[in-house]
Amino acid sequence: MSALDAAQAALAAEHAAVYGYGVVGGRVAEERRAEATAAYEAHRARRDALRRTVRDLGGTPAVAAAAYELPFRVADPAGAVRLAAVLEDRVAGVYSDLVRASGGALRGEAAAALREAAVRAVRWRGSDVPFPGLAERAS
Amino acid sequence: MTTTGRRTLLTAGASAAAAALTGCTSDGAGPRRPSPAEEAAAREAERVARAEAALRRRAADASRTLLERYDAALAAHPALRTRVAPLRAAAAAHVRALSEGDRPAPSPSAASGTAAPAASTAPAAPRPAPADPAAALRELAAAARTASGAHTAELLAAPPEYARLLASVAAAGAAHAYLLTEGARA
Repeated sequence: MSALDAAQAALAAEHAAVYGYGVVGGRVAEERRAEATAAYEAHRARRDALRRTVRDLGGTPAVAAAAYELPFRVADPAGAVRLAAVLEDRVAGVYSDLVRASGGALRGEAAAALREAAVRAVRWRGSDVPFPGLAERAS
Repeated sequence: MTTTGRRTLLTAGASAAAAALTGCTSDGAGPRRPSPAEEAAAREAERVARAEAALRRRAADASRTLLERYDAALAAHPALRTRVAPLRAAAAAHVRALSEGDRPAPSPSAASGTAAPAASTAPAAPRPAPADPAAALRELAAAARTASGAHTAELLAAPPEYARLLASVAAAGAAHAYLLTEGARA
C-alpha cells in the first residue's frame, strides 16, 4: 500500500468517525457529552490534516459519504458509548497501516493519531486491547 | 517482508564475500571477484541489518523493563491483581511480539538447566514497588508512559512492519497509563 493509498484510507475513516460522532453526540449521556465533543473535534482536525496530506502526496482527497451505515443501531447512551469505541478501533486500524506505509513526519503523525485513538477507545470502553490497530493480533 | 528482503541481501553479501575469498586465484572461469559496488552494497546491508537488530533489542528491552515493574507491583500488592493483571499480560505479549524472530529458540537441553551458567550473568533483582498501592499505580503509569515514549522514538527509524507494531505497542502503553491513573473503574 502506498503512502497515498494509506492516507486516503485514513481520511475515509476520519470522515466516517466525524459522521459517527455526530450520532454519538446525539445519544450519549449528559455527563459524557463533553468527551464526545472533544473526540468529534479531534477527528475533524485529523480529517483536515489528512486532506492536506493527500494533496501533498499528489492525490485528490476522498470526500465524505452523505451517510454511513452504522455497525449497529444506536438507541441509547450505552449504544452511543459502544459506537464511539468502535469508531476509535477503526481509526486505529487505518493509522497503523499509515505508519507502515509512510516515513518521517507523516509516520510520526500517524503514530500520534493511533495513540490518541487507543486512549479514547479505552476511555469509552474502560478496558484495553493489547495491540490497538492490529486486527491480526486481536483475539 | 522487508526483513526477508534484507536477509536475502545479506545472503547475497555472504556469497559475494565467499566469491572474493576463492576468486583471487582464478581468472575468468572461476568465481568472479565482487565489484566494489557489490562489496559496498553487502557492507551496507550488514550495517542496516545490525542497526535493525539493535533497534529490535532496544524496543523489546523497553517493554521488558515495564513488565518487571508490573511484576514488582503485583508481588507487593496482590489486591491490585484484578486491575493490573490484564495490563501485565498485555505487556508480556508486547515483549513476545517485539522479540519475534530475534534469535533462534534455544535448544531444549540448553534451556532446561535451571542454574545460569555463570552467576555473574544473573539479572539484578528488580527494584521493589512502592509500599503504598496508589504510589505503586502511579509508578506503573509513569513506567508505561516511559515505555510508550521509547517505542514512539524507535518507530521512526524502524522498518515498515516493525514500525506498525511499535506504533501499536506505544499506543497500548499510553492507553495503559490512562487506565492506571484515571480509569479507576476498569
